[in-house]
Formats: sequence, C-alpha cells, structure tokens
Amino acid sequence: MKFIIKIFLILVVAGSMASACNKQFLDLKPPASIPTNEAIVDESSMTTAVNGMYSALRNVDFFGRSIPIDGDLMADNIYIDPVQNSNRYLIDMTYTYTETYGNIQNTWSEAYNAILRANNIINATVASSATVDQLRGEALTIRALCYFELIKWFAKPYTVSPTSPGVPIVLTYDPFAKPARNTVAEVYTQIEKDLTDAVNLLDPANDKNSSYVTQLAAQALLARFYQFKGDWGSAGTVASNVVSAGKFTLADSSGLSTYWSNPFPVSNGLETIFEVEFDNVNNNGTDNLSNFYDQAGYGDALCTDDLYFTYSATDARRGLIQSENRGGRAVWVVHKYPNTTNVNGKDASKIIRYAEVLLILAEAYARVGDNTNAQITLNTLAQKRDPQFAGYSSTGNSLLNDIYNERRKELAFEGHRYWDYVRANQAVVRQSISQYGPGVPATLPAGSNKRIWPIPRAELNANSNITQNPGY
Amino acid sequence: MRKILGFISLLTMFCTPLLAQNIISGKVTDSKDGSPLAGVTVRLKEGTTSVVTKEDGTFKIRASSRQSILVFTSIGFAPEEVSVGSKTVINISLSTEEKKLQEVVVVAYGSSDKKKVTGAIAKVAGKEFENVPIPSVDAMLQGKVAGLQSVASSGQPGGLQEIRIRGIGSINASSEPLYVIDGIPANTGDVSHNTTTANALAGLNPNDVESVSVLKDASAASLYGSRAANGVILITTRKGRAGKTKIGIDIQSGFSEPSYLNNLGRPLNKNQYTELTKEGLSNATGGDSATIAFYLDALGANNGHNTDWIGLVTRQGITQQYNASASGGDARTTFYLSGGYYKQQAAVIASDFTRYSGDLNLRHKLNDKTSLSLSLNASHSIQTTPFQSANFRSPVLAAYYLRPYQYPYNADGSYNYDPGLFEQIFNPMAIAHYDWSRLETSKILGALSADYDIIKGLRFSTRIGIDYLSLEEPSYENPFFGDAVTTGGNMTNFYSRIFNWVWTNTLDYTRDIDKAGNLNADLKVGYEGQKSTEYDIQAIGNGVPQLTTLPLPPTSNPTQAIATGTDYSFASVFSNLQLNYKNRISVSGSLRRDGSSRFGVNNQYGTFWSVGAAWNIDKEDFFPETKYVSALKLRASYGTNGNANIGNYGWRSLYGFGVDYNKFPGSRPTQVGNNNLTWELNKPFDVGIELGLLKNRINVEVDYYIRQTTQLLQNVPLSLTSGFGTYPANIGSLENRGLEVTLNTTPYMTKDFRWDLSVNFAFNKNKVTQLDNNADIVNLPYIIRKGEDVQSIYTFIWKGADAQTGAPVWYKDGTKKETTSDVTQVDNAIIGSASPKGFGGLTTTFSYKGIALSGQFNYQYGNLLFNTWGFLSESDGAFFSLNQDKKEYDRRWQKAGDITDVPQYVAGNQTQSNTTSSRYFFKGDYIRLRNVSLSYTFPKSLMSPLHIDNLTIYVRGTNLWTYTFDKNITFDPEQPINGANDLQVLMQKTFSFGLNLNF
Repeated sequence: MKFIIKIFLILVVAGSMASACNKQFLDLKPPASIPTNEAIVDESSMTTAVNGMYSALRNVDFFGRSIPIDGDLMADNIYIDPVQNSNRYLIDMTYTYTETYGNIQNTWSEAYNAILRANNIINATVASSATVDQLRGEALTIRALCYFELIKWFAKPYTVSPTSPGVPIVLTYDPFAKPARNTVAEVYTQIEKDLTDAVNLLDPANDKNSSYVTQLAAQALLARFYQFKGDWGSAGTVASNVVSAGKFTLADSSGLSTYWSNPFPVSNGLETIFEVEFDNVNNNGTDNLSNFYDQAGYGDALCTDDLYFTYSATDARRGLIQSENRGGRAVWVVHKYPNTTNVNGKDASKIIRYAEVLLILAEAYARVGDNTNAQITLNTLAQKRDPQFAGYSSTGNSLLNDIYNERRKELAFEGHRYWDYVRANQAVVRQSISQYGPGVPATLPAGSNKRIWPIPRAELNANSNITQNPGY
Repeated sequence: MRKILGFISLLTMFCTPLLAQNIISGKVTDSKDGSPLAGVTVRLKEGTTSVVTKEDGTFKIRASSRQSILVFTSIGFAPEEVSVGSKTVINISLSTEEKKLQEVVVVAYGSSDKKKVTGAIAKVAGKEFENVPIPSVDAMLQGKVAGLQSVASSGQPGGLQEIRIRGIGSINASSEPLYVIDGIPANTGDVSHNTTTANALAGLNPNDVESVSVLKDASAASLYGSRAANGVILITTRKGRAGKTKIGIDIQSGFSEPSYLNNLGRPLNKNQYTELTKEGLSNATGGDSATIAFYLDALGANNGHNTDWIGLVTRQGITQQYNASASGGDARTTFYLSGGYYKQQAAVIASDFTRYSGDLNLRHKLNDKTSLSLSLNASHSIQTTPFQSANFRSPVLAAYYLRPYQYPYNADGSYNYDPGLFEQIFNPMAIAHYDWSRLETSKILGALSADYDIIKGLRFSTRIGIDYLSLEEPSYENPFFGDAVTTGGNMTNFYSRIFNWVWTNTLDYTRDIDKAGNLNADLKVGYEGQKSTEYDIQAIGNGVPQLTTLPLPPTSNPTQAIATGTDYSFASVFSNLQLNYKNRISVSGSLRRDGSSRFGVNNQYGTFWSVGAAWNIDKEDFFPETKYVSALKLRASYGTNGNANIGNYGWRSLYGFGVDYNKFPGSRPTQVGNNNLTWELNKPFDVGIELGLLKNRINVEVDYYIRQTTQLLQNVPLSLTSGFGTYPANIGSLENRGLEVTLNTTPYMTKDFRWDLSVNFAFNKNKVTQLDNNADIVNLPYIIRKGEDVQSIYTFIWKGADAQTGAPVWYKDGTKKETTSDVTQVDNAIIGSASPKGFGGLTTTFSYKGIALSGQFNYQYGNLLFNTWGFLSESDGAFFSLNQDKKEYDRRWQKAGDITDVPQYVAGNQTQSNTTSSRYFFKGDYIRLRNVSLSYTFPKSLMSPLHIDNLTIYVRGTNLWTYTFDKNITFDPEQPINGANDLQVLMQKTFSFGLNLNF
C-alpha cells in the first residue's frame, strides 16, 4: 500500500509540474496576427493600419465593382447582355433588390468595416507628428467618403428630405452597440466636419501619389459633398480652390486613351485626384471592374446605343468605346479599364478626377446664375476632349442640361450617372430599353421606393434600433 | 521490489527439478474443420510459463502439478481452460463461434471484456473493411453502427465523409466525432486548403484496420473529456500473432459508373431544348418571329451540333487495389507488415484517387515485466479533384447547364474553347485536358509505447504518438481560355505540414478487493499532453509559358508568397475507476480535466465526468435456466463531456495582415474575440439492454439516449455598423433523443448452410432548446429556431401552375389557406428537416460450403433533399440560355386547362417562379444496396497440398441498386448531411472482381 502511495505522490508531483508548464503550453498565439490593443501604437504601425484602411475600399461590393457599376447600370449608360451573362447585377438592373440581397448587404458591411479601420486610426493614442497628422487626415477623409456612399445608397437625397432617416453615425469601436439611424442632415454635418478637419490636418508637403488622400483630394470630395447638398456657394468656393491650386491638368485628346490605360498611380496631377489602387498582386481577380467590361473577362456590361451616339465622332472619349463581337453580335464595349490582361498592373477605381471638379465648378456657377464662368469652365473640359467642338454658349436650364450631358459623357462607367438623376430628383429613363432584354423596366420614377436601397436584413436582425426604408 | 524479484527466481530454481517429469503434450485444432492451429498460446493459469503451438498445432508444456490448469488462447478463438489432472496428452479444438467468445472491445485508453462494459460501444471488426472499393474507413461505417450516420459530401474518391453520432450536436462548431487511432487523437476531416474536398483519414488503408470501436455515451466516451461530445471513434490497426508467418495477398479490380441518374433530372437534347426555348421566346415576345430567330441564332441553334454533355462528362472509371501482408512472430516478438496500393477513378472526368500505403506493427517482450511496441502507418496519396458547385469550371455544372448547341471539339479534333461559344460555363472537356488540381498527401501515424508491470496488477504505460501530415496542393489554370486567360495563366501552390504529437502516461492498477476474488477494481490514472502545429505556404503566380507540357509551370509574375500557420494544444489529467462484482455488476466512473489553447483565458480548464453501471442479470443465481433467454444485460450511464472543435484562436481579439496597399503591408481588425469562449457542454444519458435469445442465436441490443448539449458556440450577430458581423459566444442549447436497435441473428444453420442476418436502425429527434435571444437564425433555406430541428427547412410553399394562366402559384404561408401568384406576398414556412428521422442498415450473408453471398442495404427516411441549383435547371425561362431538365420540359404549362406543377415557360421570366420553394425539395427516403458480394473459397483439401491456407475469389458491387420513394426526385438521394445537392462529383457504383490468397 505504501508503494501505491509513493506512485500517487510521483504522479501528483509530475502532474503539478505538467500544470506549471501548462500556462505556457496552452498560451498559443496565432503566428500572423497581433492582439488588437497592440495594433496601432506608433507611426509605423499606424501607417500599416492606413494601408489596411485603403485596401478596404477595394472590396468588390464597394469601390471595387458594385459602386461604379450600379451608378451606371441603374441609370442608362450600360446594360447587362441579356443573352450571355454571368447572372451578375441583373437584380440591380431590374430594380428587384430586396433586403436580403447579398450585394447590398456587402456594400453596407464593407463601408462600415472601412469606417472601423478609419475610426481605430483616428482614435489611436499616438502622439501628433507631421506623419501622424497626415495619416489621421487620410483616415478622416476616408471615413467621410464611406459615410457619403452610405448616405447616397441607403437614404433619401439631402435635396429631397434632409430630415429623413440617414445612417447610424459610428465614430468609436463598440462591437455591442446597436445604433439608431441619424438623420440625413446629421450625417451630412459629420461628413462636412470630417472633411474640414482632414483639410486642416493634411499638408501638401506630405502628398504621396494619386492613390493616397491629399489635402486637395479632401477638398475635391468636399466640393462634391456641397454639390450633393445643393450648397452651390460652398461647392463653387471649394472647387475653385482645387482648380486654382494649379496642381491638376487634363489630358490632351490624343493622350486620353493613354491616360486610361495607365494602371499605376500618378504624382504629376494628370487627371486623377484620388483613386483606389489595384496592383498586379492586390486585386479582385476575375471580380475586377475591368473584367465586367472587357470581352476577355465576363464582359457582361455593355454601353448603350444612346450613350454611344451622344458622343460626337471627334470626341476622344468615344474612342474609349469600341464595337466588338460578342457571341456573334456587334456590341459597344467599354475600354476605360483596359488592363484586364496586364500582368504588371490592374485598373484603379477612380474616386475623383479633375474633370469632375471642373464639372462641379461649372454647375455651381450655373446654379448661381453665373453663365459666363459656367460656360468657360465647361468648355475647358469639353474642348479638351473634342478639339473640334465649338463650345457651349447656352444659358439657364439649357446650360444645366449641357452640363449634365457633359457629365454623362465625361464620367460614364465611373458610377456617377444614376446620382445625377437622384440629386435632381428626376425619373431614370432608358432610351435604349430594347437592348436590355425582355422584362427590364424602362424607367425608375422619382417617387419610387427603389430609388434607394433597403437596409440589409442582417442589420435589422442584429440591431433593434434601426428602421427599414419604405417599401421593403 | 528487488526482493520480490529475487524471491521469485529463487522459487523458480527450487521448483524446476520437481516439475520436470510432469510434461503435457497435445495438439490444438480448429473446431470448424479440424485443421491444426499454429501460434496458439498455451499457458499455466498460475505463474508465467507459456509456450506457443507449432505449425502442426502441437505443443509441449511442463505443468507444475495435477491441480494446474492450462489456458489456450488465440486471437479470433474463444479461450479454453483444461485441468491437467492425470492427463499427459491434451488434444483440444478451439472454436471461432463468435457467440462463445469472451468478446474483447477496445475502450478509451484500453480494452475490456464486453460483459463488463457499462457504456454504449459498437464494435466493427476489421474484416468488414477488407477489400471494399471505398478509400476510407469512415465511409465504410455507413449502415454498420446503429445511430451513426455517415455520408459522403461528394462522389470524389478521397473526399470528405461527414459523420454524426446520435444526431447533430452543434450549430457552429464541428459535429464530427473525435478519431483516436492507436491511441492518438488524430487530425481528421478536410485539412486541405486548395482542394474542393478531401479527407485526412483516406490516407489510412482500411485493410490495415483490426477493429473500430464507436463510443456513443458518457460512460464510454467521457474519458476523452472536452473532445468527446460528438462521440469517439477508436481505430486500432492490425497486430501480429505468434506462430507461423502468414502471408496474405489481395487483388481487386473493377470499374465505376454514376450510381444514380434519373430521367427527370436529365438535361435536354437539342430538339427538346430548341422546342422549349422557342416556346419561351414566343411567350415572351408575343410570337415575334424576328426576335425568336435572333435569340435562337445567338444561342447557337443553327450550328448543327447536338452534344450530350452528361455523356461526355461521366465515364467508366477504373478501380483497383492490391494489398499484401505478412504477420507472425514468437512468444516474445510479434509483427505485422503490410503494403497496399489503391486507385480509383470517379465516374466523372478529372476526379481520381491513388494511395500507396505501408504498415508496420512490432511488439517485443523485453522481459516478464516490460514490453515495447511500435506501430507505424505511412502512406502517400494523390488526388485530383475538379471544381464542384456553380464554379464555371465544374464538370457537373457543365453537364447539366451547357446547351446542346455548344460543342466540345472543333472540326479538326482540337478542343473548342471559343469564349464566344462558351460565354460563361467553360468547355469541361477542355478544362479537364488543360487544367489540373492535385492534392498529394503524405501521412504518418506512429506510436511508440512501453508497458512496465511494476508489481502484480500495477502497470505503467507511456506512449508517444505522432500524427504527421504533409499536403502539397498545386493547381494550374491554362493561359489559353477560362478564368486565367486575363492573367496569362495561373499556377497556385499550397504546402501544408501538420505535426501533431501526443504523450500519454497512465498507471493502471487492477486488484481483487476481497479474498475470494469476487469483487475487483480497475483504477486508471494518467496525464496527457498534445500539441498540433501547422505550417502553410502559399506560392501563387500568373503568366505561365504558352505550353501544355510542363508538369510544374513557372510563373513570370509571382503574386503571393506567404507562410502562415495554426496550432492548438491540450493538457489533461484523467482517471477512470471500474468495479466489478462476480461479473454480475459493474460500476464505472471517469473524471478528466482538460486545458486547451482553444479556450478563452477566463475558461481555460474544464472538468468532465461520467458514471455508469451494468448488470448481467443472466449471471445471477435467481435467473432461471431457460432455453429462450440466454443472456440479459442492463446498463445505464450519465455524465458530461465537451466539444472543443471551436476553432483555434476564436477567443482572441485580433488584428491581421495581408490587406496590403501599393504592395506595402496593411493591417485590419479581424475578430472581436471573447475571453469567456470555451467548449460546448454535452450531457448524455443512456440506458441500454442487451439480450441473447435461443443460445445467443439471436442477439438484440437496444439503447435509448438523451443528449442535452448546452453552451453551444454561436456567432452572435452584431450590428454591421460595428464593422463586424458576429462574435463567438457559448449561448445555444439543443437536445437529441433517440432509440437505437441492433439485431444480430443466425436464422438458419445446418452443417453446410448458414444464414446470418443483422439489422440496425436508429431514430433521432433533434430539438433546438435555446438560442441567443431565442432569435431565429435564418440562412435560407435553413432556419435554426427554438423548438425545431436544427436543420429545419424554411422556404416558400409551392402549389404549382395556375391551370388557366400558367402563372406560378404559392401558398401565402404555412397555413396553406390562401394562394397567390405574387412572389412578394409569400412568407417562408418550415416544411421539414434535412435530418433523417431514421436510418440504418441491413446485412445478410448466406454461406454454403465455400460459397458466400452477402449484401448490405442502407436506408434512411424522413429527411428533405434540396436541389440547390434547381432555380437554374427548372427556371421557367428565367435562365433560358442554360439547358433545362426533363422535368421542366415534360411538365411545363402550355395551354389553359393544363394541371401541372411547372409554370409557363417564358424567356426572361420575371415572375420569380424559380425562387427557392418547396418545389425544389424532395423526400430523401431511399434504400440502397451499398454492397453485395459473391465469393467462393476453395476447399482446404485442394489447397493444403499447395501449401495454401485459403484462396477465395469474389465479385463485388457497391451501390448497384437504389430505390427512391419520391417520384419527383431528380438526383441521387445520397447527399451531404445538409441534404443539399450542390452539383458535387456524382456518386458512383462500382463493380469489381477480386482474389484473396493466404499461405
């Protein structure tokens, strides 16, 4: 029996030795991740987090593809080939989305995921320095950009109903919060504040290339923000600041296709103010935006007849659309994103270009009745694209129509067309409806509930404080 | 200690001369045919003297006295005891009669006499796994164990097998059982990273398996603590036996075809498709002939081709296996050695599996007290796997959805991959020719152990086990067409190495508590440490040479070169006590404390326990001698155990990397974490009765169980505005209760003829008892709702086509009172579950002299199957550019008055009639002849002169016959656990011939 006791003693000793080692033995950390509280602690880790924040913009249902595609598809610039397609975006084209539609849920969650990444950078306890201020300014701009997209897609336009429900404003990390929707006006106030703060923090001396936010990029986005708000005075002031900075130039008509075929960010101020970079490693593969236009990829999205024939024959932008064969039929194929098969680089998603700032400025002038400056600004762009063009000389509503028409031609396939309809509270009318195939609606009336997207079901399920948009 | 040793040797020295004259000789034979038995251990019941019979079955042993008792033991035979008395010659025959055997079953950390077992354990003998044309043991368990549901997730050979024991025990963590192979808790399941479906257990040659024990209840399994909740499967590999060296050779070859193709599910031929499409276009355009002609031409109707894609994609695959083994040894050293080759081609192109395997088991008795043993099982397998599901490269997708106008070969015989013709789904023949995806797995399972008998009854065992896996997964996408044409071809390489070690130390103490030996105890204590580390490399690039001949094409543009890994550890102490009174009553209790890296800091250690009791009533004095009831045992158990399959670092709040920008490193928050996160807790209760009737000609085993599983891992939804979707917490509960019945009988037996029949069936009822906020978790078409089955189907209820208009008609809700043709007016309702109400197997064997005919039927009922892609193949025209199935064609509404369940076919249909609804669900009831074999064993009289012990030839078929109960079903009724047909590689039936030779 003594012997047994001995054995047990040995066992107990061995067991306790084993458990002493246990703490270490059981404390296994993932080899390629770090604890959240160690993630942003200094300049270099903040730089890494800012890169991660930009990469969030690349998501397929964010700026990667859905935002630029839907902005044209839900209007009248492009259609999905009704015979041969990969079944993508048919729901968007036919306005049949519901609160369980995956693309919409992804846009919602990816926007807020990008906001989380930005929030953690903005709120990190890292002492101010030139680098840190610049990074914070970039994060504030991206946060504003994300809220701007959210408010566009999920809430009524400010110009229609500023007091209607917007989206929840989340500025700090709290995974268990169930925030209610702020009003459209409150979200607008937050966006304005973030962009203004960003402009103050960002320093042109620290400008990187066009794939990073700069002070002028923040101002350009602020100009667009005032345009959507209908605050034409501020829109004009900020837009003319960007123009008068003198940093940005337009490509010559002969160089336009060269500009579009360049897959790399620029530092020379040519056209691009801010873009989301896709390189040959970090891209969405077959889900790249370009694959959806290029016939070497899915090639499902095709330019409508009426858009194509809006361009004059001498317009350099018409050269970006070519007639090609798809399943034995001639179709208009978009060539704004020609790097589908380029192994060295992929097409960036352009967030804002100099041409848009000029168009905002022209519209701001026109809206406040300054026809002369509106014409000058508009013609600067239009005649650059089409050197044969005599220039616009219209005034009033007719001039506004010309500006909208020029916006359509200039910003086609970059996701802006639908918002010109929405902002102006006009019905979408598809002139080339016969190309869309059987059963596709020819119009989307201004009063339709389908003008904005539903709040995703997953959000409603998890957040008892949130309300659905009418009609879903 | 030393004193005792000295005393024994002294005693032996004194005794030896005295015993010299008392020599017993004799011969041991097989009771079946009288043939001599070699390798039988003959030992004196007192002391340690033992000998082994020679090849002619003879032995000689010195008996100590007339009171001595000789014990004859040999694996596979019932042991016999004979008193020496005045005999000097003892001839004896041993019987293989199974019912007579004192059945030994492998249990947690040991083995036990089945009579003493207090838990629910099912044993499957190794011969059930021999020479079956299925690559892995887990797949062969289907229909063999009551309450064990085993289903293939795909027809891919070497693909994942899903096993559920006593129902589904988890919502978000794995519901798979723990596999312990020769004492090693192994990494199993699909551990691949770049392969559609794989199974780590497919590396173990089933022919090397001696037995499988399935531990189902608390008493049987709780000694495995935090990993036993979903049952434990103990796999023991073959060991050698002392005696003449035996050589075994098995050869098998055959072919495979799709197991079940249904006419209703067949894609249309050219004429049918043209007719349907024309009608659809006409209905859409009001008969505008120009538009109809335009679309038909655009689809390719005028190109003169009529391709049978399903005929091209399916094939007659080859299946082959060769196994050779040698085993033998002497009283001190025994060995088993084997080698195997297995090759199987699926019934679908680009899908096959090849395995080379070897096994070595050595056992050596160093001295009377110490023995060493080694088991080493190594294999290398090569699997090629096509894409499944709706991937445009999936051959099964292509077979069903490519139009008959599309054609695989150009006029000159080259592959046709014109993107103008194959606008979305690629030509599967060209994909199979140009692209490939391979998984090469090297697997080593090894255990080195030493046992030391400290004193009589007290044994110390230590065992170091390793479970090593190395996976190479290259895949290639050609630069000429397909997904990689835009990147100039892709080459992807994944390499993973998983090293899993476990060190187990146990002390096992057995002793009689009273002097008469009526009450004895078996106490086991031990501790165990385990750590599994995984290392992964991904090397991906694009831009490959424009060649088709390179086995490993280099890439001009490397895009990914990442190494990562994942690991887990367990540290445990455990103990088990078993008390047995006169073989009548057994009581057992177990206790285990587990710590794991997977559990959050606030809950890192858990304690699990069980109690069980068994009562062999037939051994009681009061039990009447009756010829009807020959055995009766009652048992019951209760306890706790856990499910630690909750992922490796789920409790930590983390930032991850790899979200790079401009090729500079980027970081992002990846998970919320939860410091309280821990195991799922399972509380199984079990009562069982084991009954033998008519001298055990009939054996019945019935078990009733209730499993309450709480603190289930749930991914609790967060507001997406937080930037996260969910965080993990232990919240939900569910319950499984059920009944299992196993019947083994020999209904008829004469000298030459014998009929064996065994049947098992199990009923399980699952119910969700608690959820986070008791909110439904909807993942259409599934819903997890309190009070319902965890796999409930939640969908629209389909009524059919409006007889007047051909419009779709749904019931508005589950009450079925109102109908509508407006899809927005329809609500989902629960229409059933993907889990079967009951399932089981039936095995029957007829043998007459050397001829044996054996069949195994599997069946299940009460579940629903889901045609996941039915909305494409029965689209009512919404997807008119894809081929449709025969059901759509046969039953479509065409004119007023047609009563049918398929609406009008309208090209570009906007009615959303193809929204998921009960229309795409079928009753999953089926009976399938899983296995049938006819064998002939040549008579001994012919073989003995050739020095052959046994020669058997056979033919064997698997899945040869299938009966489905739903007239509307369009596909194979054998589908994954969730019942969803997801265009997997088709299941196969095989037909093979084989030969077994032993000498």
